[in-house]
Formats: sequence, C-alpha cells, structure tokens
Amino acid sequence: MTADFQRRLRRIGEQRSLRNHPLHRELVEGALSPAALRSWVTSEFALASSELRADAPETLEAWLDLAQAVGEDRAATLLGERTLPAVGEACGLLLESMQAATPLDAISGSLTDLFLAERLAESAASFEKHHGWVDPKARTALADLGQRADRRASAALDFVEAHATTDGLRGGCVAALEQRFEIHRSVFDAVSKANAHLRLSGAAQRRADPVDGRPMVVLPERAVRLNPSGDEILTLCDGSRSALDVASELQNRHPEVARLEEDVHAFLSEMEGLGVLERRVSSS
Amino acid sequence: MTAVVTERPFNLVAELTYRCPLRCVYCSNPVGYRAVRDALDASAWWRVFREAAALGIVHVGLTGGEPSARADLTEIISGASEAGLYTHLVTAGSDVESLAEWVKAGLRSVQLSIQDSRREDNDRIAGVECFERKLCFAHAVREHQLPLSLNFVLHRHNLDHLEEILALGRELGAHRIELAETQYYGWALKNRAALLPDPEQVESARRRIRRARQQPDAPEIVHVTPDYLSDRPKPCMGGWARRILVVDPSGLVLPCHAARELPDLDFYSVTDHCLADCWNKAPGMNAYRGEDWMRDPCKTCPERSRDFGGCRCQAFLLTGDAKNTDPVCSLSPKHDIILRARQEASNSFIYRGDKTD
Repeated sequence: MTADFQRRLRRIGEQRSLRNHPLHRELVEGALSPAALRSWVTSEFALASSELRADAPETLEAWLDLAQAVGEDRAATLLGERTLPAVGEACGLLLESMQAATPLDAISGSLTDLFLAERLAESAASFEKHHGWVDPKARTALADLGQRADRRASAALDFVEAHATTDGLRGGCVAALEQRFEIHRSVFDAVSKANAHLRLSGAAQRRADPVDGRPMVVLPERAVRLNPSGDEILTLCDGSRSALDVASELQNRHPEVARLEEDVHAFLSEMEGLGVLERRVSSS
Repeated sequence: MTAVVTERPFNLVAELTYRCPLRCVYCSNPVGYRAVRDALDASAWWRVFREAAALGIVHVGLTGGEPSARADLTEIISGASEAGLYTHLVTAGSDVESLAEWVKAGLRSVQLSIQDSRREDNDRIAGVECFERKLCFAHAVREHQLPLSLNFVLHRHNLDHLEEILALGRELGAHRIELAETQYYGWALKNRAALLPDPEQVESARRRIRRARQQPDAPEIVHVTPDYLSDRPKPCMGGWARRILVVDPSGLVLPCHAARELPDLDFYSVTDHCLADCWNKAPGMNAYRGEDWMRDPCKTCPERSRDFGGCRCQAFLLTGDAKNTDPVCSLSPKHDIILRARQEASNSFIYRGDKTD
C-alpha cells in the first residue's frame, strides 16, 4: 500500500516536472537569450525564497551564485528587484497556501523537488554546450542545488510515508503536490510570456495627437495616449525584442532610474491587455 | 449660454442612415426613424470627417441603421480614411460582397452584431433571416485580417445561451466580444417588459462571464451591465458632449444616439454650421455639459464626477424631465419607477416598424 503511494507521488512528480515546460526546453536547446536566462534564475530564486525549506540559507546562496554567474546582480536578486510582477504574484499565492497548509501537506508540496536534480543537470549541460559566456561557477551551483533537492525529496518522502496513514490524508498530499506544481508552472509561464517577442498589434495605429502632438495609439474601440517614455517603450517593441529585452534595454538607457524594469513590465502587460501589443509565438 | 468648452471629442459616431434590413426588437434608433432622411451625400460626409479631424477626433465609427444600406459607403470610407481617422465599421453584416472594396478604401476594423448563437433565435430577434449571412461576414473579415469585434445584445431570451455565444465568438476569431445588456431606448423601451431579464439570470451571467475571462487566451470580453438592475447609473457616453460626437443621418450633431428625442434642445446641423460650431456652440450641446445644470441629489453627490448624473435621455423618458437624476440611481427620489419596471414581465415583442400606440 505505501509502496503504491510512493509510486503515485513519484509519477505525479515525473508527469508534472517542469522538464517538459517550453521554457526549460528552450533553455536546454540553447534558445534563451541572456535576459531570459537571468529571468529564469531570479524566478527560481523567488520561488525558493517563498518556500523556505530547512536548508534555505545554503539553497538561496546557491541560487544567488547562479544569478551572479549569468550576469545578474546579487543584491538586486536578493531584494526581489528583478522579480517579474507575475512571478511575484505567484509567489504570493504560494506563501498564502503555505500558511494555510498542514505540515503534512506542506511537506508533500515540497516533493516538487523529486525530479529537480535531473532538470538542473540538463540546465548545466546546456550552459556548457550553448552558453559559453556563463561563469563556470554555475555548474557547481547547479550541482549543489540538485543534490540538496534529492536529499530533501528523500526525507520528505519518508515523512509523508510515515504520516499519511489514511486515504483522506493521502488524498490531501496528492492535492498539495499538484497545487504546488501548478504554482511552479505559472511562474515558468510568466517567464515564457515575458520572453515572447512583442510587436505592435495589427489593429493598432500609432500617431500624433492632432491637438497637442503627443504620441497616441488608436485601436478599434479606444485611443490610448502615451507619455514620452511609453512611446519610447513601444518603439522598442518591433518584433525583435521580448518584454525582458525591452526592460533591460530601458534600464541600460536610464541607469539613474531605480527599479525601472518593474514599471516597464507593468506597462507592457497593460499595453498587451489593451490590444496595443501582441506576442509572437515563442522566442527566436 | 456661454460656457467655455474644454471638452474635446476623440470619437465620431457617424450614423450614415437609419435604413436597415433587420427589424430588431431592441433597436436603439429613434422610434420615429422613418421621418429622418439621409441628408448628407458622400461629399458632405467628407467635409464632416475633415472638420472632425481638425477638432481632434481620431476615430470614426460608421454606423446606422445599417451603413451598407448606402450605395456610397465605399466612398464614405475612403473619405474618413483620407481625413486620417481610424475607420471602424459597425454593421449587421448584410453586404459581404463589398468588404474587399471597403478594405481597399481604408477600413481598419469591424464590429459585427449578432443577435444570438442559435440561428432560429437570432432570426426571431432580428425579425428577418440573417444568421448565415452574419457568419459569412465574420469569416470574410478575418480572411482580410481585420480585427473583428462582435456585439451581442443580451436580454432575458438569450442570457442563458451565454456559453454558446462566447464559443461562437471564439470560433469566429473575434479579438473582442461585447456583451451588451439591452439599454431601454427606442424600440427596446417599447419591448421592455419582454426583454428585461430576471436579476438571478444577470447575476449568473456575471459569474459565468468572469469565469470565461479566465480561460487561457480568452478574447477581451466586455460586459455592459444592465443599468435597470444596478443601483447606480452608467456614466452615459462618458459624460454629455465630452468625448463623443454623434452626427445623425439628417446631419444633426448630438451628444448621443438618443438625444434627438429630448424636447426643447436646440442642436445644430452640419448642413447649416461647421462641425466646430455644432460641437462648441449649439445650445443643446451645452445644456448638460459640466455640473451647473444638476439638481439634488446629483448636485452635491461625491459620485457626480464619475457618473455625471447618469443618462439625460433615460431621466427624460422615465421621469419626464432630463434634469432629474437618472432614476436608475437608488438615490433618485424617482427610483421606484425602476423598481416597478423590474416587476414587469411578459413574452410578446413589438418589432421595429410595427405600429406602436
């Protein structure tokens, strides 16, 4: 019976593993831009810092090492300044669900660790093959993170096996694990979305306001007036850049503005929601 | 009245004709539409478009009636486009054969009205067979790669088809689906008892629409809620003569589609005045601009800058005086009119064109 249950949890771990997520596949194939790689690492850091496992200090340190290895700022990563707004929201959900969870459910949820080592090993291999510019320290960090995940997963499996003694409790464990995978997936979805190339939608017409000359966009059902920075951002959305590229380009142009990238992402989501911008499928 | 007009219109609603092959039971055109002739030829519309652009208007909705009932629609579209306006056609989809010509003339986007997701119900509300033609039209719009938005007017007879309606919208490739609860003017007011939904129907629709919006890659779903069933009025037209300028088939310049029904208001026509004067100087346009005209409870209401006291036409149609607070507002002393209307219910329609008493 318990062996069956372990198998069931492992099967969920294998089926839901983010190894099959388009973002990870792109990473493995070397298709991610440096900006996308950095966003992946800072998102993993945000997830890990919301989950606060027993070995959080070492785990977070390793993710920070990895962030630095792909060219991200350690301090900014630690402070969450590089977190995509949608990733921040998903992590907020995660924290809420952790607060409401029983210890057994919380530990079942942590079984997202089950196949993490494999995924990180694939990432490390891709770094060597496709991303020569990444600091070799990334390899050490990824190996360390993988070993930690395996250790935690095996302890968590033992704990769950010992305490999930009824069908009701076992059902709760399964639900908790599936829910946690759902949140992880939504984080990856958010990075994928930010990594898709943006362009002006076919419906949108950019023009100057006939009255005051300010930039505006006219759409089938509305007109949107822009300030000069909004206009500058839209100019960058020419189909060759993702939201991540646009945000980092803007931050480079205006280093004096603190946390500019967050505002850029919020603006871009708003423009997408209004139908000003559209996403092209996947990155190049 | 010498109000200084600070409002600047962005959007021109060009009602090209009140003629329409459909006979919808909730048509918002004036009940006396037959007396209104199409007074502006294509060159007169061209002048209106140029003057609109000079006023700061960037967008024109070509509507009616059915705009394609006019033989010179292609010419009208090219005039709007040459004036630099974003040219949007609001149609029942009656003339798919001309679409290619319109696109060539500069048409940028289309809103197609569909009455229901089911052929027989669509045709029953429209009073004529038109469902298949509408579907053909929608496909043609997408083939031309124009953005397509769909408008479904909701009422007690189709609210329960909501999922089917949304599925049809997605299938047709709409980037936007407008679910507009019937607003009770024109023919809809005549048919109010037969159209007004139950509050439970509307509440359930709200929940289902919320769920539909959360589906992955859902189109934009706009729900225009029924003001008869809420306790605050809608900010009608974004405020009287603030952002939207309507020119009706006779050339009259109005703040909304229904304002010609209001008595004692002097509006100007583009046949006698330039568009700027029609917008800025016509006494009717200035009658309810700003807040000076307001009475209690609007005059001192903290919400007056958000809803502008609701709808003048509705206030007139239901209370007999356009200066009154829109009776939809629960703060209105005449709110009982709305409460009574909610109690009414029947199942017989008066079709557009039928005799009304």
